[in-house]
Amino acid sequence: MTENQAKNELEKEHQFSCFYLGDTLYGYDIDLVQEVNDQLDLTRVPLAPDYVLGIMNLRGQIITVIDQQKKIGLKSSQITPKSRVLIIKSGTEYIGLLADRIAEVITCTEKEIAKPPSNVNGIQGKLFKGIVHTKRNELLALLDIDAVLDDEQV
Amino acid sequence: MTTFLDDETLKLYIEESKEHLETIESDLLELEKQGEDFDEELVNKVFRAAHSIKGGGGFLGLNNIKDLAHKIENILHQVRTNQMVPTSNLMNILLAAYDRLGELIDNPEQSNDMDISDHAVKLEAILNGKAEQVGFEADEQESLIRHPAKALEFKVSALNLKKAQEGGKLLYILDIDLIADGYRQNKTPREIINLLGDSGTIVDIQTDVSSAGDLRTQSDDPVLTMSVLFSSIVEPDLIGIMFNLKDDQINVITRENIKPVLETAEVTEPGKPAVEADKTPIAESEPAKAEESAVKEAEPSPPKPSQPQPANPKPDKPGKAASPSSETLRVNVGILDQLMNKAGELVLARNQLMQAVNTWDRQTVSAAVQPIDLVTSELQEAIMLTRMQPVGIVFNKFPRLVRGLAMDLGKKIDLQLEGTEVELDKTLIEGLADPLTHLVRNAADHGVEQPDVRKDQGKDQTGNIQLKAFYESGQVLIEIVDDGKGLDPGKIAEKAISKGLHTEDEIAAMSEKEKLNLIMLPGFSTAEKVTDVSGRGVGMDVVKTNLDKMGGQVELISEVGKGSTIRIKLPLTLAIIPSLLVQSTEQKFAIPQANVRELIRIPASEIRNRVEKIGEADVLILRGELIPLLQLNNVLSLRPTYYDFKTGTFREDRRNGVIDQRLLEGQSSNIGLDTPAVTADQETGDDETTPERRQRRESDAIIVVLNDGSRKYGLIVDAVFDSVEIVVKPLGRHLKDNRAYAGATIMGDGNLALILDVNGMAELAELKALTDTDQTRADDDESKDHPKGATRQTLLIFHNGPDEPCAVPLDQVLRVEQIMADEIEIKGGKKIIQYRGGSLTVYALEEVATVEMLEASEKLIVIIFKVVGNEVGLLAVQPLDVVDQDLVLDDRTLRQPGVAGSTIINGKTTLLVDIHEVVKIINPHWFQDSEMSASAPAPVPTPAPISTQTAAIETESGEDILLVEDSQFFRNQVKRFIEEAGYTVIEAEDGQQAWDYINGNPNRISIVVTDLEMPNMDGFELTRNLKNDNRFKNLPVIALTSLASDDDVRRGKEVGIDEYQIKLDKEKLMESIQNRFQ
Repeated sequence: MTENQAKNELEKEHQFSCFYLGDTLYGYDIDLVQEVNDQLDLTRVPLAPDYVLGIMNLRGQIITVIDQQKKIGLKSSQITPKSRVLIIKSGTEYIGLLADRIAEVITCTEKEIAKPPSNVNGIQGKLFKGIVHTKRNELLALLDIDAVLDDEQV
Repeated sequence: MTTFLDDETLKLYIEESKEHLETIESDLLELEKQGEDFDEELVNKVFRAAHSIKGGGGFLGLNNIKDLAHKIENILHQVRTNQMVPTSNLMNILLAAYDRLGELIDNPEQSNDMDISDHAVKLEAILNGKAEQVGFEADEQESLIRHPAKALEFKVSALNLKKAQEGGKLLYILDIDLIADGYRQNKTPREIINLLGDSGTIVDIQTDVSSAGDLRTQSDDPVLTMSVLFSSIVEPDLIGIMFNLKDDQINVITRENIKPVLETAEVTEPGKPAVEADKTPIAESEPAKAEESAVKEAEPSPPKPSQPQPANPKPDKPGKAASPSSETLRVNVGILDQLMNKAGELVLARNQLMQAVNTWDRQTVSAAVQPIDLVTSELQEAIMLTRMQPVGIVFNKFPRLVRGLAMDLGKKIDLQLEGTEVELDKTLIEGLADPLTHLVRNAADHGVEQPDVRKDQGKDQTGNIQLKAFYESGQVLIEIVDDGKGLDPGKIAEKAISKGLHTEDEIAAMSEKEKLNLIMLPGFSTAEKVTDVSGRGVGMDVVKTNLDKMGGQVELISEVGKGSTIRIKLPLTLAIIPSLLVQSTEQKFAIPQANVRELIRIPASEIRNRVEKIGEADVLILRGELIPLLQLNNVLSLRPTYYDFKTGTFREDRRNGVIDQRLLEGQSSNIGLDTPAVTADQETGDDETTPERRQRRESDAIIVVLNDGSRKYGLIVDAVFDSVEIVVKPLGRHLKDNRAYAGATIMGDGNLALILDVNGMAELAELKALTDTDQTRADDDESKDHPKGATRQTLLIFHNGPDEPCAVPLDQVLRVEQIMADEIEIKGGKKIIQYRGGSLTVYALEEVATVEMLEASEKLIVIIFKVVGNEVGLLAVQPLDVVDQDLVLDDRTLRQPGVAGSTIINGKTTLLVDIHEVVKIINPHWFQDSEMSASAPAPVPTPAPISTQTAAIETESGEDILLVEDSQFFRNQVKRFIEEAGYTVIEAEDGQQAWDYINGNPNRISIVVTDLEMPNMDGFELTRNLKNDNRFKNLPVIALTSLASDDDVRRGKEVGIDEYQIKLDKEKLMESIQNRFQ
């Protein structure tokens, strides 16, 4: 890798679709998020894992909606009028992830992404891909979608 | 050569074969390029193609095609088992053969007259390459057989070599590790050799000391390899299974490894084999038969199913479904036209809608939506139609197959086809071909007997096999019925045990039906014969797996001597099923209509009569049949709160998991249900007579009677709605593991409904297949021949630890509750739980008796008893069960404080807990009071009853009861509840003791309660003695019995027994005692 390439690599821009869980800002690579939906008409699934909020009808597809906050080991999210569902395509299915509040899309370069510490606000570091210090002086935690969507019981 | 050419089948076959052939050329060339490191999947693909062509050709009587494909397949088999390298020479021959195969397939009618000998000879030559070489060498000449992987050579005389290879035998060098394979498995080398000798010939053995360290470099274990030059007709994959060897221990010797002693150069001139091949027998049938019999012979040496052979090529044996290539489908042009029209209409409708939307006029929009609705449904139907094909496509293969089989087997078989016009989804049709072939073949081969056998049994010499397809409640049923010898559940069970699939204990607990269905367990099927039809080994387990994949169910019904029926239930299509919508709490669920037997509404006033409690389980009595009941909201742990996002009242579900409905009827405070109904329930308290919650509300019970093949049960729901056609949508992967659901669907209003899995729910609720229990129950009522000294008893079985089942008589049990472990509090040195507004003391059995420690578990069961007026709970863990059986109590072997003894239940030694004694040990003071009032302390630890306590109370008279019973357990139980009622009980172990006592204390006893079956002096004799004695002739005698047969009653009357009571039927006995006193 030439110096130039390496430099280009570091300058490469990323866009993140961001949202809040509680007061913490999280984000996914924007390419992962198909849409953000305000429909929260969930059907409960009795006996489902505790992080599954229910299922919903997304234009004829049935998608599982997951309480991300619960899934990554925090307390359950409360559903409020600000709550939104991020629709993520995972393999052949769509999965909904509950966010407490939607934030803007944040753009940053590769070099601005720092390695995650072993622990972010009490959550295991392995759930994160990195940390970005945003221009508004906030910490953006980049979640690892595979870890969040993992269907093993936590 | 006659050919049986059903037009449709033939067309289908040719089409399919061409598809297979299309890709072969490029695949073969690719293989050639890859050389030794070829892609296994690619070989498998080509192999599958040849295999499919062979199979179809066989059915259709296209023998040339079949033969050629078979020869190709044989070679590819060698390649994929690494016995041949795909060299360009090999590929040339294969390609040419495939070309010829293509020509044959293009002209099926003429194919049998076309010449394939050229190709056949070449292919044979390659295959028999190794054998051919021997042919031109002098018999005395010696050959060196080189170990393919090691520096090891066997010197074998040509004669021996020839012998070792004749008749299609394969030559192996087996590397048997005397340490790992021998010593550690407790086998002596001699035993290993004997085992080998059973299924082949040992040509030579060498022990290779040098192998230490290099054979398994990854382990430090010592290795002592014995290399056996072994000749057998058994195929390589079977060798591994038979002798429990790994693939790298089995070396198949090809001609490359064999060299004449003096020669060093390869003898593989391409020209020669062709010439020599003429000398080798081309006749296929010979070795094939030998192979068959060899497989049979090989069977007895038990393969260990617990160690699956990963490299075994059988499991990935191809079904058509396995080929991922682009499939094509033939569609009736009419349907295509219809589709085209619909598409046109849809475009029009869309245009209308777009215009309407622009007007913003509500009415216009809704008018425009209507045609879209209509067209969509029609489109859907038409598209489904394109996928529907008559099941006859598969069925029509079978007359020929059965005819051929009958001829081969010397049987007379008549095959009847019914319902060939029944249409099924294409994928289902395709998936059916293999399983059905196997099942039909089984019926002909194993089911129908030889004509003479049939004649001896009074059956028609010609066996019957029926193949039926028909619609039933939205499903397609396919039945394969034969009138042959049937299956013996006992034998199947034995085999399952011998194969280590189940232990004897497990088998003992199984019903006949369950035993029969063991045949479908993976690893049950024995090695199958290699035939044109079935290919290389498809067992019942594969049949089941294939059908499972399609959402089908297999059911096996068989009667020894009468025949077997295999019933396959398939969904009509995989996508749309009619369903019944039901509601429980606030949520709607769909139940596949196919599982719904009937709907029953029981008026509130009737519930008491129609719903019976067997233990804590609710059972519906429906036309004399007992049907267990489940309550949907309990099965699903539904809380009646429904999430409403507008108010934000989402509460996290605590999900206590599965609740066994049977145990939780009429209570629930600790399960998280807090409906008014339950609260009311708690307040009213009295539970023993509460059949179920719904009754409390004074509302009707709505019961959906469900059937999933093996079980039938009733599901109590809150409401039932319409039957609707629903589109099944799969649930996401986070919910896949949940057995309660088969998927979800979108209802007309856009809301979702979960589709209940009838089978899964029953499993969740741990509902047993009840058919047999019902049967036993019915039998019991009539049975008169009880084992002597045994007592019919309903027992509640529970567990302390996993391996130590315990039991208590069910009628001592007040209730059974489920609690969470953390609900137990320790106060004042006692374990208590909060219960119905008070505290309930709970005990673990281990506090009193030496038993397994209570298993640490989140959820615990509390069995509640009433002992001397106090409620106490006994802690236990699942599984719980209720059995009704003859109780033969062994009160010696395992007798200890708190444990009255043991008995065998379902093949397991079960401890019979004496709850009275348990409580007594822990709380002796409870008993002091009651004993004082009764003034006759119960001699609990020492059952020497009479003599000790008599003196003090000699003077008293009147209310004493003489209890004569030989079983200490029952004596204690009966004594307890008589004493609870305030009477004094004198015990006697048998009639003689009682007689002696009563003679010594003639005025003391006012009632005699006696068992009938006793040693020394039985109840009849005792009564006769009493009644014949003037002093006692007015003394009432109540006989305790397990079951009073008419005979007994008559005999009892003759000797003067005043009354019969069922043992441990506390209420009746007490009533009768009280009546006597009045």
